[in-house]
Amino acid sequence: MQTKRMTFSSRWLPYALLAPQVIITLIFFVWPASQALWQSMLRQDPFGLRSTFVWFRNFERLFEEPHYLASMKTTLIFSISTTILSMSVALLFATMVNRMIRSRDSYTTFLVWPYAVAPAIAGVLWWFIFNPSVGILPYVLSGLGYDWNHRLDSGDAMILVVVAAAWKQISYNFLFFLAGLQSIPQSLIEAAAIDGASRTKRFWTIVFPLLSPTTFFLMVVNIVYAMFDTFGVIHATTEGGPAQATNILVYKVFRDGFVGNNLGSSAAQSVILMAIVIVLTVVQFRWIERRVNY
Amino acid sequence: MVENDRWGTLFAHIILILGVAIIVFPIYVAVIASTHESGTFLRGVMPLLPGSHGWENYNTIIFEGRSNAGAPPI
Repeated sequence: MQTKRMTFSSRWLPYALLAPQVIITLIFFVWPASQALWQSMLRQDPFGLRSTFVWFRNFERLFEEPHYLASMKTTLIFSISTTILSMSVALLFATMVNRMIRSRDSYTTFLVWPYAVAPAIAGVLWWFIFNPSVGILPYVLSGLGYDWNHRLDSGDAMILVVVAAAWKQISYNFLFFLAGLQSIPQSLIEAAAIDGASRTKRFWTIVFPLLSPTTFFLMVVNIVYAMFDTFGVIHATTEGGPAQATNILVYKVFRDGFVGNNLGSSAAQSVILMAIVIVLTVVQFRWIERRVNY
Repeated sequence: MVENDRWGTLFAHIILILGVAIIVFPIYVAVIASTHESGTFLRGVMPLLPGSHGWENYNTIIFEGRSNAGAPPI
């Protein structure tokens, strides 16, 4: 890597130029994060009047609690299914749109719409469609003999939040996949076609491996999205219910802290989430960039 | 394109049109729902055709605001 060496006339100028970034990081990341760390070692009484320092007791209690372990499992199922659903649908659309010449832009325009919708609004829209009493989908499904009720059935609730969260993310994945597909050299595909490779064969042996950097990047982004940005979707649809079936880790932080008033446990959960984010980021920057090469 | 594959292209168009229909459907439903009075949603399954209260609803939201804050978003 080439770096340009800059020389400053004043000794303080570089520090002054760095200051805004450093101050923003300190105020909006380091300060709240250290507050959460401190809070995670405190334990409040039910009325919030007193708090005692308990070291790592909050963390110990969390890992003994079956609800927390169940929530981890829920998060895993939720984020993996959201990622797989949104990425596979987006890849399908991207390969199809990539074949088009004249109609490419009009399809792209429509497929990008959901990206402009906020997560909470996406949740409300799907809540409308899946609503057991007025929704259109339960009406159609009951005609087919399936009794849809995401208020009672935990599987239905999970499908609802996965669909709503994945729908929102399809546009993003679609744009990245389309850009990835367009950057694949046409000559490779032509050469394979001359050698007699069918369209399916060309996709799986040339296009898909060449897309792997995009796929890996999107996989990390989607997992992070599903784990940390879907609070609005869950809050607007199921609120973690029924019987904790859609209570993902981020939602549990909110529920335990602001509904259950257990601030110590809530802070301990945020610290664990922060650790997960750090691990995911390290994975994204180190492991993936080394593994994906062709 | 590498080869001329008429049926493949047709198939791709069908998939894309279905896909766009599914992707745009929630937004369509929201727009349709915004043209009905709130009583419609208590009476039965959500309509898929525009109602007659669109002007009234948008007028209320933009110029007057809702009096019962915190009500369901219908």
